[in-house]
Amino acid sequence: MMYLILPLASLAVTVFLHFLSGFLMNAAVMRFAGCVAIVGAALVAICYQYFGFTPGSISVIISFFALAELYLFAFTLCMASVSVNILIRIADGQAHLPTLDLKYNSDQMVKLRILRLEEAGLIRSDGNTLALEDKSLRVLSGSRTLRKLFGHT
Amino acid sequence: MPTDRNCCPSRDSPMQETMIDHLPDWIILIVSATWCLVHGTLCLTLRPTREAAIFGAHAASFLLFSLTAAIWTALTSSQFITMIGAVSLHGAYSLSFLELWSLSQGSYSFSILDMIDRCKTPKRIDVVREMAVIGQQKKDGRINALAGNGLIAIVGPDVTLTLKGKLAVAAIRSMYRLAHVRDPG
Repeated sequence: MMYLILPLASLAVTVFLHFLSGFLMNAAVMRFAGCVAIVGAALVAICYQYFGFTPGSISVIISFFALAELYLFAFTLCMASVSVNILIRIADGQAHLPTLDLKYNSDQMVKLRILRLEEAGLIRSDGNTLALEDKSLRVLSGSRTLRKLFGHT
Repeated sequence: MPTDRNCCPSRDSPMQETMIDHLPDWIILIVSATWCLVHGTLCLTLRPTREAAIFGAHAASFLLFSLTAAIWTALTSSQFITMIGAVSLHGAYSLSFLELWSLSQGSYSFSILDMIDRCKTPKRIDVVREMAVIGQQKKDGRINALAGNGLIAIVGPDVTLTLKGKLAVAAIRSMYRLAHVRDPG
């Protein structure tokens, strides 16, 4: 039974730490990665200490990381999905297609993405023009490799 | 040697745990890793380009493997947690694969970076104009998809949330609070 409780309890601790860390900084994904690393390391130590190197302890660790990935997927989907954004705006009272078109402006969406890329240090701007930072070249190269790998044209 | 399937003997236990004791557990974990490896290689070789095809390939594989793992656990002395671990491994693999696939296919941010790289210090206004076209296409497609999934109802110019939509919004807002997301979207 302990084996089954451990991954769930570890996820609960991670989610709680993630919530608390929100008072300190904004970057939700980075915060979550930090919390998963801390709780994951503790879980590995506990599993090794109490159960040794067994399939059970490995399964506990795999289950925890899979649950953490699922949670990360859920909240990044809520943060960045276009569909989610539209649903929220409709719930906020923009229940008219023309109003939705006006408020949910694709220009605004692009501006927000550009702002986020600037905040992430991937691009820089002198107000009028945009340029890539060095680290964005690595990101871009990674994205192109993935596109090639998955066969996206 | 009797084994309790949900009990885990400590290393201090008089029962010496050997690889042989846990053979069915090791087998299902190794099969899980191999299954993912073969599936991933097949996906990267066949390269399905449609979203439904790649999702279907992963969903079918996940269901088939879960069934295999359940039958293995029922027929052998393998522990329940090992089945959970093996299925989780497949789940983590599929989720990672699909996320990367989707990210590389149509990420807004990558498209913006790509455009800046192609045009070399483009004007902000030009990037906004070009990317807004993609944004408009995304939005139109999504509104129709939301209506198709029964989350919103469109009557003339009015859009309303259905019960399913209201439940979805409540879940999303709970997630914002839980993850402490300040500026979603």
